[in-house]
Amino acid sequence: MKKPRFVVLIIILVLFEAVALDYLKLFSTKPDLLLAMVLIWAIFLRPTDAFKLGVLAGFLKDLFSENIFGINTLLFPCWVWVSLQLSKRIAVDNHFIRMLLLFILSILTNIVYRLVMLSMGIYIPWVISLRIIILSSFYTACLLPILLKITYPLISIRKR
Amino acid sequence: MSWRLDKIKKNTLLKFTSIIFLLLVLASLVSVLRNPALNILRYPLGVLSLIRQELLGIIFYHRNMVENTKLSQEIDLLNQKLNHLNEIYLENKRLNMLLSLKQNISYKVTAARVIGRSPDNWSSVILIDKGIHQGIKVGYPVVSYLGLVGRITEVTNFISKVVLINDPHLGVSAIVQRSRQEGLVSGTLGGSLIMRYLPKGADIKISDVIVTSGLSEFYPKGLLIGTVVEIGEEFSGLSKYAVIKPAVDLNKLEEVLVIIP
Repeated sequence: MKKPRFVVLIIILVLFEAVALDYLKLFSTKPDLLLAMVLIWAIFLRPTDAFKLGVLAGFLKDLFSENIFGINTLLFPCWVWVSLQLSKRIAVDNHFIRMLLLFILSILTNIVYRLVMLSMGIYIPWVISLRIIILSSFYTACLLPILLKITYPLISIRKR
Repeated sequence: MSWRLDKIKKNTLLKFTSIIFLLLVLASLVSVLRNPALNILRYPLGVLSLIRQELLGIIFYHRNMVENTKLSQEIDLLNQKLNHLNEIYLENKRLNMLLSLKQNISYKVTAARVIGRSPDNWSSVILIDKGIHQGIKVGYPVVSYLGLVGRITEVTNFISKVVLINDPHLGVSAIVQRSRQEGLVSGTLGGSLIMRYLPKGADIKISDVIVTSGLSEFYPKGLLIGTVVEIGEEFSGLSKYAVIKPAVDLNKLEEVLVIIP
Protein backbone atom coordinates (compact mmCIF):
# COMPACT_ATOMS: atom_id res chain seq x y z
CA MET A 1 0.00 0.00 0.00
CA LYS A 2 1.19 3.48 -0.80
CA LYS A 3 0.66 4.72 2.74
CA PRO A 4 2.52 8.08 2.55
CA ARG A 5 0.14 9.08 -0.23
CA PHE A 6 -2.82 8.49 2.04
CA VAL A 7 -1.22 10.42 4.90
CA VAL A 8 -0.70 13.36 2.51
CA LEU A 9 -4.31 12.96 1.32
CA ILE A 10 -5.58 13.07 4.93
CA ILE A 11 -3.60 16.25 5.63
CA ILE A 12 -4.87 17.87 2.42
CA LEU A 13 -8.46 16.90 3.28
CA VAL A 14 -8.13 18.20 6.84
CA LEU A 15 -6.70 21.51 5.60
CA PHE A 16 -9.44 21.73 2.98
CA GLU A 17 -12.09 21.07 5.65
CA ALA A 18 -10.59 23.76 7.91
CA VAL A 19 -10.23 26.42 5.22
CA ALA A 20 -12.83 25.88 2.52
CA LEU A 21 -15.55 23.55 3.79
CA ASP A 22 -17.77 26.53 4.65
CA TYR A 23 -18.24 27.12 0.91
CA LEU A 24 -19.73 23.64 0.54
CA LYS A 25 -22.37 24.27 3.19
CA LEU A 26 -25.87 23.12 2.31
CA PHE A 27 -28.69 24.33 4.58
CA SER A 28 -25.97 25.25 7.11
CA THR A 29 -24.60 21.71 7.23
CA LYS A 30 -21.18 20.52 6.16
CA PRO A 31 -20.32 17.11 4.73
CA ASP A 32 -17.93 14.84 6.62
CA LEU A 33 -15.32 14.15 3.94
CA LEU A 34 -12.98 12.39 6.35
CA LEU A 35 -15.68 9.91 7.37
CA ALA A 36 -16.30 9.18 3.69
CA MET A 37 -12.57 8.54 3.25
CA VAL A 38 -12.59 6.23 6.25
CA LEU A 39 -15.26 4.10 4.57
CA ILE A 40 -13.34 4.07 1.28
CA TRP A 41 -10.22 2.88 3.10
CA ALA A 42 -12.19 0.23 4.99
CA ILE A 43 -13.52 -1.13 1.70
CA PHE A 44 -10.42 -0.93 -0.45
CA LEU A 45 -7.38 -1.19 1.85
CA ARG A 46 -5.99 -3.81 4.18
CA PRO A 47 -7.76 -3.74 7.58
CA THR A 48 -4.62 -2.73 9.52
CA ASP A 49 -3.85 0.13 7.11
CA ALA A 50 -7.47 1.31 7.15
CA PHE A 51 -7.42 1.16 10.93
CA LYS A 52 -4.21 3.24 11.22
CA LEU A 53 -5.45 5.81 8.71
CA GLY A 54 -8.77 5.99 10.58
CA VAL A 55 -6.97 6.80 13.84
CA LEU A 56 -4.87 9.50 12.11
CA ALA A 57 -7.90 11.04 10.36
CA GLY A 58 -9.86 11.06 13.64
CA PHE A 59 -6.98 12.67 15.51
CA LEU A 60 -6.54 15.42 12.91
CA LYS A 61 -10.27 16.13 12.90
CA ASP A 62 -10.26 16.40 16.69
CA LEU A 63 -7.52 19.04 16.45
CA PHE A 64 -9.93 21.51 14.87
CA SER A 65 -13.08 20.65 16.79
CA GLU A 66 -14.27 21.80 20.17
CA ASN A 67 -14.37 18.41 21.84
CA ILE A 68 -13.04 17.70 25.31
CA PHE A 69 -12.22 14.13 24.42
CA GLY A 70 -10.80 12.68 21.21
CA ILE A 71 -14.18 11.46 20.06
CA ASN A 72 -13.23 11.08 16.38
CA THR A 73 -9.97 9.33 17.29
CA LEU A 74 -12.17 6.70 18.93
CA LEU A 75 -15.05 6.65 16.46
CA PHE A 76 -13.22 6.46 13.11
CA PRO A 77 -11.37 3.18 13.85
CA CYS A 78 -14.64 1.79 15.22
CA TRP A 79 -16.36 2.63 11.93
CA VAL A 80 -13.52 0.92 10.06
CA TRP A 81 -14.19 -2.22 12.12
CA VAL A 82 -17.97 -1.96 11.58
CA SER A 83 -17.49 -1.51 7.81
CA LEU A 84 -15.15 -4.50 7.69
CA GLN A 85 -17.62 -6.70 9.54
CA LEU A 86 -20.48 -5.55 7.31
CA SER A 87 -18.48 -6.03 4.12
CA LYS A 88 -18.01 -9.69 5.11
CA ARG A 89 -21.77 -10.17 5.25
CA ILE A 90 -23.04 -7.93 2.46
CA ALA A 91 -21.57 -7.08 -0.93
CA VAL A 92 -20.40 -3.47 -0.97
CA ASP A 93 -19.57 -3.46 -4.66
CA ASN A 94 -21.93 -0.78 -5.90
CA HIS A 95 -22.25 2.91 -5.18
CA PHE A 96 -25.75 2.72 -3.78
CA ILE A 97 -24.83 0.20 -1.05
CA ARG A 98 -21.67 2.17 -0.18
CA MET A 99 -23.67 5.40 0.03
CA LEU A 100 -26.27 3.73 2.22
CA LEU A 101 -23.53 2.40 4.50
CA LEU A 102 -21.93 5.85 4.73
CA PHE A 103 -25.32 7.43 5.42
CA ILE A 104 -25.83 5.03 8.35
CA LEU A 105 -22.30 5.58 9.70
CA SER A 106 -22.72 9.34 9.44
CA ILE A 107 -26.06 9.21 11.25
CA LEU A 108 -24.49 7.09 14.00
CA THR A 109 -21.57 9.56 14.32
CA ASN A 110 -23.96 12.49 14.61
CA ILE A 111 -26.11 10.66 17.16
CA VAL A 112 -23.01 9.94 19.27
CA TYR A 113 -22.07 13.65 19.09
CA ARG A 114 -25.59 14.66 20.13
CA LEU A 115 -25.61 12.20 23.03
CA VAL A 116 -22.21 13.39 24.25
CA MET A 117 -23.50 16.98 24.17
CA LEU A 118 -26.68 15.95 25.97
CA SER A 119 -24.64 14.24 28.67
CA MET A 120 -22.69 17.50 29.09
CA GLY A 121 -25.96 19.40 29.53
CA ILE A 122 -25.57 21.38 26.32
CA TYR A 123 -28.89 22.48 24.88
CA ILE A 124 -29.51 22.36 21.15
CA PRO A 125 -33.04 22.64 19.72
CA TRP A 126 -34.30 19.33 18.33
CA VAL A 127 -35.10 20.87 14.96
CA ILE A 128 -31.47 21.92 14.51
CA SER A 129 -30.20 18.56 15.79
CA LEU A 130 -32.40 16.64 13.35
CA ARG A 131 -31.41 18.93 10.50
CA ILE A 132 -27.72 18.32 11.19
CA ILE A 133 -28.14 14.56 11.73
CA ILE A 134 -30.18 13.88 8.60
CA LEU A 135 -29.02 16.53 6.13
CA SER A 136 -25.30 16.30 6.81
CA SER A 137 -25.44 12.48 6.64
CA PHE A 138 -27.33 12.63 3.35
CA TYR A 139 -24.93 15.25 1.99
CA THR A 140 -21.89 13.19 3.03
CA ALA A 141 -23.35 10.09 1.39
CA CYS A 142 -24.05 11.98 -1.85
CA LEU A 143 -20.43 13.11 -2.07
CA LEU A 144 -19.06 9.56 -1.78
CA PRO A 145 -19.04 8.71 -5.52
CA ILE A 146 -17.21 11.98 -6.30
CA LEU A 147 -14.63 11.37 -3.57
CA LEU A 148 -14.19 7.80 -4.74
CA LYS A 149 -13.64 8.95 -8.30
CA ILE A 150 -11.03 11.49 -7.19
CA THR A 151 -9.16 9.14 -4.86
CA TYR A 152 -9.53 5.91 -6.84
CA PRO A 153 -6.17 6.27 -8.65
CA LEU A 154 -4.50 6.37 -5.21
CA ILE A 155 -6.16 3.22 -3.96
CA SER A 156 -4.26 0.03 -4.44
CA ILE A 157 -6.30 -2.58 -6.32
CA ARG A 158 -4.64 -5.32 -4.30
CA LYS A 159 -7.23 -6.31 -1.73
CA ARG A 160 -6.80 -7.79 1.69
CA MET B 1 -10.56 -29.13 20.09
CA SER B 2 -12.53 -27.09 22.61
CA TRP B 3 -9.25 -26.16 24.33
CA ARG B 4 -8.03 -24.74 20.99
CA LEU B 5 -11.25 -22.79 20.47
CA ASP B 6 -10.94 -21.38 23.97
CA LYS B 7 -7.38 -20.29 23.23
CA ILE B 8 -8.46 -18.58 19.99
CA LYS B 9 -11.31 -16.84 21.81
CA LYS B 10 -8.92 -15.72 24.56
CA ASN B 11 -6.46 -14.39 21.98
CA THR B 12 -9.20 -12.46 20.16
CA LEU B 13 -10.44 -11.01 23.43
CA LEU B 14 -6.90 -10.01 24.40
CA LYS B 15 -6.35 -8.35 21.01
CA PHE B 16 -9.69 -6.54 21.20
CA THR B 17 -9.00 -5.30 24.74
CA SER B 18 -5.52 -4.07 23.84
CA ILE B 19 -6.87 -2.22 20.75
CA ILE B 20 -9.57 -0.52 22.83
CA PHE B 21 -6.97 0.38 25.47
CA LEU B 22 -4.64 1.79 22.81
CA LEU B 23 -7.48 3.84 21.31
CA LEU B 24 -8.45 5.23 24.71
CA VAL B 25 -4.83 6.23 25.38
CA LEU B 26 -4.63 7.89 21.95
CA ALA B 27 -7.91 9.73 22.49
CA SER B 28 -6.74 11.03 25.86
CA LEU B 29 -3.49 12.20 24.23
CA VAL B 30 -5.38 14.39 21.73
CA SER B 31 -5.33 17.42 24.03
CA VAL B 32 -1.58 17.01 24.68
CA LEU B 33 -0.70 16.61 21.00
CA ARG B 34 -2.91 19.52 19.86
CA ASN B 35 -0.31 22.21 20.52
CA PRO B 36 2.57 20.80 18.41
CA ALA B 37 0.25 19.56 15.66
CA LEU B 38 -1.51 22.91 15.28
CA ASN B 39 1.84 24.72 15.26
CA ILE B 40 3.01 22.54 12.38
CA LEU B 41 -0.22 23.12 10.46
CA ARG B 42 -0.21 26.91 10.85
CA TYR B 43 1.95 27.53 7.75
CA PRO B 44 -0.19 25.59 5.24
CA LEU B 45 -3.32 26.99 6.90
CA GLY B 46 -2.03 30.56 6.58
CA VAL B 47 -1.08 30.08 2.92
CA LEU B 48 -4.40 28.42 2.06
CA SER B 49 -6.45 31.13 3.76
CA LEU B 50 -4.49 33.79 1.84
CA ILE B 51 -5.13 31.99 -1.47
CA ARG B 52 -8.83 31.70 -0.58
CA GLN B 53 -9.00 35.42 0.23
CA GLU B 54 -7.33 36.39 -3.07
CA LEU B 55 -9.58 34.06 -5.07
CA LEU B 56 -12.69 35.49 -3.41
CA GLY B 57 -11.44 39.00 -4.20
CA ILE B 58 -11.20 38.10 -7.89
CA ILE B 59 -14.49 36.20 -8.05
CA PHE B 60 -16.50 38.89 -6.27
CA TYR B 61 -14.74 41.90 -7.84
CA HIS B 62 -17.91 43.63 -9.06
CA ARG B 63 -19.83 43.03 -5.84
CA ASN B 64 -16.90 44.41 -3.84
CA MET B 65 -16.73 47.51 -6.07
CA VAL B 66 -20.43 48.30 -5.54
CA GLU B 67 -20.07 47.60 -1.82
CA ASN B 68 -17.04 49.87 -1.66
CA THR B 69 -18.96 52.82 -3.14
CA LYS B 70 -21.83 52.22 -0.73
CA LEU B 71 -19.49 51.96 2.25
CA SER B 72 -17.66 55.15 1.29
CA GLN B 73 -20.97 57.01 1.45
CA GLU B 74 -21.73 55.39 4.79
CA ILE B 75 -18.31 56.41 6.13
CA ASP B 76 -19.04 60.07 5.32
CA LEU B 77 -22.31 59.83 7.17
CA LEU B 78 -20.75 58.04 10.12
CA ASN B 79 -17.93 60.58 10.31
CA GLN B 80 -20.50 63.28 10.85
CA LYS B 81 -22.14 61.22 13.58
CA LEU B 82 -18.77 60.47 15.13
CA ASN B 83 -17.98 64.15 15.43
CA HIS B 84 -21.28 64.67 17.19
CA LEU B 85 -20.64 61.68 19.48
CA ASN B 86 -17.13 62.93 20.26
CA GLU B 87 -18.68 66.08 21.58
CA ILE B 88 -21.03 64.05 23.76
CA TYR B 89 -18.14 61.84 24.91
CA LEU B 90 -16.07 64.83 25.99
CA GLU B 91 -19.04 66.27 27.79
CA ASN B 92 -19.65 62.92 29.49
CA LYS B 93 -16.01 62.70 30.50
CA ARG B 94 -16.13 66.12 32.07
CA LEU B 95 -19.29 65.26 33.97
CA ASN B 96 -17.82 61.95 35.14
CA MET B 97 -14.76 63.73 36.43
CA LEU B 98 -17.03 66.08 38.24
CA LEU B 99 -18.75 63.11 39.86
CA SER B 100 -15.35 61.55 40.65
CA LEU B 101 -16.23 58.29 38.88
CA LYS B 102 -13.30 56.13 38.02
CA GLN B 103 -13.50 54.81 34.50
CA ASN B 104 -11.85 51.53 33.80
CA ILE B 105 -12.56 50.80 30.18
CA SER B 106 -9.11 50.97 28.64
CA TYR B 107 -8.49 47.71 26.83
CA LYS B 108 -5.67 46.68 24.59
CA VAL B 109 -6.72 44.87 21.44
CA THR B 110 -4.78 42.67 19.06
CA ALA B 111 -5.95 42.16 15.48
CA ALA B 112 -5.88 38.59 14.17
CA ARG B 113 -6.67 36.87 10.90
CA VAL B 114 -9.04 33.89 10.70
CA ILE B 115 -7.10 30.96 9.23
CA GLY B 116 -9.41 28.02 9.80
CA ARG B 117 -12.76 26.73 10.98
CA SER B 118 -13.98 23.59 12.72
CA PRO B 119 -14.87 20.89 10.19
CA ASP B 120 -17.70 19.32 12.17
CA ASN B 121 -21.32 20.37 12.39
CA TRP B 122 -21.57 20.24 16.17
CA SER B 123 -19.25 23.07 17.11
CA SER B 124 -18.63 26.58 15.87
CA VAL B 125 -14.95 27.30 16.17
CA ILE B 126 -12.42 29.45 14.32
CA LEU B 127 -8.63 29.41 14.39
CA ILE B 128 -6.76 32.72 14.47
CA ASP B 129 -3.12 33.40 13.64
CA LYS B 130 -2.16 34.83 17.03
CA GLY B 131 -1.13 32.89 20.13
CA ILE B 132 0.90 32.92 23.33
CA HIS B 133 3.74 34.83 21.61
CA GLN B 134 1.37 37.74 20.91
CA GLY B 135 0.12 37.80 24.50
CA ILE B 136 -3.10 35.84 23.97
CA LYS B 137 -4.41 33.76 26.85
CA VAL B 138 -7.34 31.41 27.39
CA GLY B 139 -10.55 33.22 28.28
CA TYR B 140 -9.85 36.46 26.40
CA PRO B 141 -12.92 37.82 24.59
CA VAL B 142 -12.87 38.19 20.82
CA VAL B 143 -14.81 40.92 19.01
CA SER B 144 -15.19 42.41 15.57
CA TYR B 145 -16.00 46.04 14.82
CA LEU B 146 -19.72 45.05 14.91
CA GLY B 147 -19.83 43.23 18.23
CA LEU B 148 -18.98 40.14 20.26
CA VAL B 149 -17.58 37.17 18.34
CA GLY B 150 -16.57 34.64 20.99
CA ARG B 151 -13.92 33.59 23.46
CA ILE B 152 -10.45 32.04 23.32
CA THR B 153 -10.55 28.44 24.58
CA GLU B 154 -7.18 27.08 23.51
CA VAL B 155 -3.86 28.76 22.85
CA THR B 156 -0.70 27.45 21.22
CA ASN B 157 2.44 29.45 20.48
CA PHE B 158 1.13 30.98 17.26
CA ILE B 159 -2.48 29.80 16.87
CA SER B 160 -5.54 30.23 19.08
CA LYS B 161 -8.90 28.56 19.01
CA VAL B 162 -11.95 30.79 19.38
CA VAL B 163 -15.36 29.37 20.27
CA LEU B 164 -17.97 31.54 18.57
CA ILE B 165 -21.08 32.82 20.35
CA ASN B 166 -23.33 30.56 18.25
CA ASP B 167 -21.61 27.48 19.70
CA PRO B 168 -23.75 25.77 22.34
CA HIS B 169 -20.65 25.18 24.51
CA LEU B 170 -20.50 28.92 25.21
CA GLY B 171 -22.76 30.96 27.49
CA VAL B 172 -22.62 34.73 27.80
CA SER B 173 -24.19 36.69 30.60
CA ALA B 174 -26.19 39.44 28.89
CA ILE B 175 -28.68 42.23 29.49
CA VAL B 176 -31.36 43.95 27.47
CA GLN B 177 -29.89 47.42 26.82
CA ARG B 178 -33.24 49.21 27.24
CA SER B 179 -34.66 47.52 30.35
CA ARG B 180 -31.42 46.08 31.89
CA GLN B 181 -33.14 42.65 32.10
CA GLU B 182 -30.56 39.91 32.65
CA GLY B 183 -30.36 36.58 30.88
CA LEU B 184 -27.94 33.99 29.52
CA VAL B 185 -27.17 33.98 25.80
CA SER B 186 -25.99 30.75 24.24
CA GLY B 187 -25.61 29.39 20.74
CA THR B 188 -27.83 26.94 18.93
CA LEU B 189 -25.44 26.10 16.06
CA GLY B 190 -27.80 27.89 13.70
CA GLY B 191 -27.78 31.48 12.52
CA SER B 192 -29.38 32.76 15.71
CA LEU B 193 -28.70 32.79 19.45
CA ILE B 194 -31.03 32.12 22.33
CA MET B 195 -31.40 34.19 25.50
CA ARG B 196 -32.71 32.04 28.32
CA TYR B 197 -33.61 32.27 32.01
CA LEU B 198 -35.76 35.34 31.49
CA PRO B 199 -38.52 35.67 34.11
CA LYS B 200 -42.11 35.37 32.87
CA GLY B 201 -42.71 39.08 33.32
CA ALA B 202 -39.39 40.15 31.81
CA ASP B 203 -39.37 43.52 30.06
CA ILE B 204 -38.16 42.50 26.63
CA LYS B 205 -39.47 43.38 23.19
CA ILE B 206 -38.69 42.54 19.59
CA SER B 207 -35.85 44.74 18.22
CA ASP B 208 -34.37 45.21 21.70
CA VAL B 209 -30.58 45.38 21.71
CA ILE B 210 -28.72 42.78 23.76
CA VAL B 211 -25.30 43.59 25.22
CA THR B 212 -22.90 41.81 27.59
CA SER B 213 -23.71 42.41 31.25
CA GLY B 214 -20.15 42.45 32.55
CA LEU B 215 -21.18 40.06 35.34
CA SER B 216 -18.81 37.32 34.23
CA GLU B 217 -15.08 37.96 34.41
CA PHE B 218 -14.59 37.05 30.74
CA TYR B 219 -16.51 39.78 28.91
CA PRO B 220 -16.35 43.54 29.43
CA LYS B 221 -19.67 45.27 29.95
CA GLY B 222 -21.59 46.69 27.00
CA LEU B 223 -20.29 44.61 24.07
CA LEU B 224 -23.00 44.34 21.44
CA ILE B 225 -24.34 40.79 20.96
CA GLY B 226 -27.38 41.27 18.73
CA THR B 227 -31.05 42.18 18.49
CA VAL B 228 -34.16 40.30 19.59
CA VAL B 229 -36.15 38.81 16.70
CA GLU B 230 -38.54 36.49 18.52
CA ILE B 231 -39.85 35.99 22.04
CA GLY B 232 -41.35 32.77 23.33
CA GLU B 233 -42.29 30.92 26.49
CA GLU B 234 -40.28 27.96 27.78
CA PHE B 235 -41.99 24.56 27.78
CA SER B 236 -42.29 24.66 31.57
CA GLY B 237 -44.21 27.95 31.35
CA LEU B 238 -42.09 29.40 34.15
CA SER B 239 -39.77 31.51 32.07
CA LYS B 240 -39.37 33.19 28.70
CA TYR B 241 -36.71 32.93 26.03
CA ALA B 242 -35.70 35.30 23.26
CA VAL B 243 -34.22 34.47 19.89
CA ILE B 244 -31.40 36.87 19.01
CA LYS B 245 -29.93 37.72 15.65
CA PRO B 246 -26.18 38.20 16.19
CA ALA B 247 -24.77 41.60 15.25
CA VAL B 248 -21.78 39.89 13.64
CA ASP B 249 -22.13 37.62 10.61
CA LEU B 250 -20.26 34.68 12.10
CA ASN B 251 -20.02 32.86 8.76
CA LYS B 252 -18.06 35.64 7.10
CA LEU B 253 -15.40 36.44 9.65
CA GLU B 254 -12.00 37.23 8.18
CA GLU B 255 -10.39 39.47 10.79
CA VAL B 256 -11.14 39.72 14.50
CA LEU B 257 -9.89 41.65 17.50
CA VAL B 258 -8.80 39.96 20.72
CA ILE B 259 -9.37 42.08 23.82
CA ILE B 260 -6.42 41.89 26.20
CA PRO B 261 -7.64 43.06 29.60
